[in-house]
Amino acid sequence: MSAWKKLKQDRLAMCCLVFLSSVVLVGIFAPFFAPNNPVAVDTSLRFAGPSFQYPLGNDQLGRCVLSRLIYAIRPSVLLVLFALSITVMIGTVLGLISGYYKGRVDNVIMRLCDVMLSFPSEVITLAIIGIFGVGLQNILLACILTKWAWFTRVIRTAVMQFSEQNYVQFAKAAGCSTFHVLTHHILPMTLSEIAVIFSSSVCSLILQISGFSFLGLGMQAPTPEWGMMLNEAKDVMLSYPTLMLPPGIAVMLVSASFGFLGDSLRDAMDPKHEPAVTKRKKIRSTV
Amino acid sequence: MLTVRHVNKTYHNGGFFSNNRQPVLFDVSFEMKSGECLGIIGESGSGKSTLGRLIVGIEKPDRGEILFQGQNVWSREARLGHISAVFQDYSSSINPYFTVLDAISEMLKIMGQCDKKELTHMVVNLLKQVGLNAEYCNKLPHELSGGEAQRVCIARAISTGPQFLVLDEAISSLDASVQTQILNLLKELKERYQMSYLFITHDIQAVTYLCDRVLFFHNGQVIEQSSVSKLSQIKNEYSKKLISSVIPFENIKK
Ligand SMILES: Nc1ncnc2c1ncn2[C@@H]1O[C@H](COP(=O)(O)OP(=O)(O)OP(=O)(O)O)[C@@H](O)[C@H]1O
Ligand SMILES: [Mg+2]
Repeated sequence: MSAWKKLKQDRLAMCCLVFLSSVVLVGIFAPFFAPNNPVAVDTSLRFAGPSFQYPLGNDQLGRCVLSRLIYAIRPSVLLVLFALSITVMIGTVLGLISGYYKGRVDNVIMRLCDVMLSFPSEVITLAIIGIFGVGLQNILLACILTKWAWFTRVIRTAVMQFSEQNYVQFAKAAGCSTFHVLTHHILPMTLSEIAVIFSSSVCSLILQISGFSFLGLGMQAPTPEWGMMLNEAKDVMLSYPTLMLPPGIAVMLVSASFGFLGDSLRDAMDPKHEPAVTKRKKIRSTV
Repeated sequence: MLTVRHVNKTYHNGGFFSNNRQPVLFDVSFEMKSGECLGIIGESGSGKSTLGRLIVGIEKPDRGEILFQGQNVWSREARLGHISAVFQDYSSSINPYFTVLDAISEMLKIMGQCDKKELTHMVVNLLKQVGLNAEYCNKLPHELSGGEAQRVCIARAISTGPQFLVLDEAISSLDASVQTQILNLLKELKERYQMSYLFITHDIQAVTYLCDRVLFFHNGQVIEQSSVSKLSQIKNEYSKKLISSVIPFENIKK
C-alpha cells in the first residue's frame, strides 16, 4: 500500500493536512481573505467587540484582529516554512555526502557540525541580531545557521545506517551509479526521518519566532505577526484578556497540526506499518 | 576470466588522528576460468566477505588488482550486467519500499529495458526459474519468508544474465531443505547459462556439491587450493582441520 493511500485513511492526518493547506492558501492570498486593511488604525474602535465588519473585534489601536491574524500567516508560517526548507536542503545534501562517502569528507563536515552545535542557538540568534539588527530575516538567518548542523547530523546517521544495507551493496555491486543508489535506495528512506525533523522543527521555530517577536526582536510594528500580536495583547491582558486568544490559538493549532502530520507521515511511509483500520478490516474479512 | 593479483586490504581502526591499520587480506592471488565454480572456505573473520566485496567492486583494494575479462572491476562499466552478487543476510537484501517486481526489474531498467509489459513478462519468467509464481510480483519484502526472499535475490542477481555471480554465504542462514532446493537451483542455472560462481561458505558439503575447485582461506591468505575431486589429498594442516571439523564423519571412518 502506498504512503499516500495510508495517509488518506488516517483521519487526524487528513484533518491536519486540510487545515494546514488552507492556512497556507489563506496566507498566500491574504488580500482576498482579509476583510480589512491590517494596519489601518481607527481609534474610535479601540477594543471594540466582534461585529459584522470586524469578525474578531479590534485591538488597542482599533485595527481589525482577523485581518492581522490572516496577514500574520505570511511571516509566521510561510517564511518559517521557507527558512526550514532551505535548512533541510542544506542538511540533506551535507548529510548525504557525509554519510555516503564517509572517511575524510565525513570527518570534516562532522567537526564543523560539532562546532556549530556547541553554541547555544539562542546565543547565536542574539549575536546575529546584535550584528545585523532587529528583524525577522535575521532571526530566520540565525535559524538556518543553527539548525543545519543538527539536520545534517540526523540525516547523516540515517544515511549511514541505510547505506550499510544489503540492497545498497547489491546495487553498487551490480554497477548502479552513485546517483541511482542515492535517489532510489537512500533518499526515499531518509524521507520519513526528514518529515519528522521538519515537522518538529516547524513547531519549535514558529514558537521561537513568536517568542522573539514577543520580546520585540523579530518582526517590527506595524506588520502583523502572531508573536507580536500576543506581545501587544499582553499589555492589556487584565482589562481585555480575549485579545490573547486569536493569536495564541492560531500558534497552537498550526504547530500542533504540523506535529501530528509529521508523526502520521512517518507511520505512513513505513511499509511495515499497517494502519489500525485496515488491520481490523483484514481480520474481519478472514473470519 | 577473473584474475586476482596480489591483493592487499587493510582497515582503518581508531579515530581521526590514529593511523592504525588492521590487515585483513594479505597478498591474495588466484584465477578463475570462464564457467568454473570456485568455493572459498575459511573460518569466521578470515576475510572471505572482504574478498567478496573487493571482487564486486564495492570496496577498493589497497594494493594489487582485480581484473574481470581484462578490465578492472573497480570501474562500474566493467561490472554492469556482467557481475552480480547474492549476500548472506536476506532480511535487508531487498529495499523495503520495493515490491518484488520493482526489485527484480531494477537492473533491467538500468540496462535500458523500459517497456512495462515486457518487464513484467521477464520478471515473471525469472520468478518461475527460481520456483516462485507470478503472484509474488506485488509482494513487499517483509511479506516474504527467508527462503523466498533469497530466491528473489537470486532472480534479481541473474536478471541481467551475468557471466559471474558472487555468492557470499547465500544459503547459510536457511534451513536444510531450502538449502538443498537453492543449491539445486544454482546448479541448474550454472549448467543452463554457463555461469561462473564464487561461492563463499562455511559449508564444505555445499562446496563439494556445487564447486569445481576450493580455496582455503586463513588469516587473509590463501593457504591451499585444491580441486574438489582431490580434496582427500590436501596437505596443509589447517585445511585438513577445516574439512574434518565440518565433516565429522570423515574422522569416524578413520
Ligand atoms: N568495514 C570494516 N572495517 C573494519 N574492519 C573490518 C570491516 N569489515 C571487516 N573487517 C574486519 O575484517 C576481518 C574479516 O572480516 P570478513 O567479514 O571478511 O570475515 P569473513 O571471513 O567473511 O567472516 P564470516 O565467515 O564470519 O562471515 C574481520 O576481522 C573484521 O573485523
Ligand atoms: Mg562473511
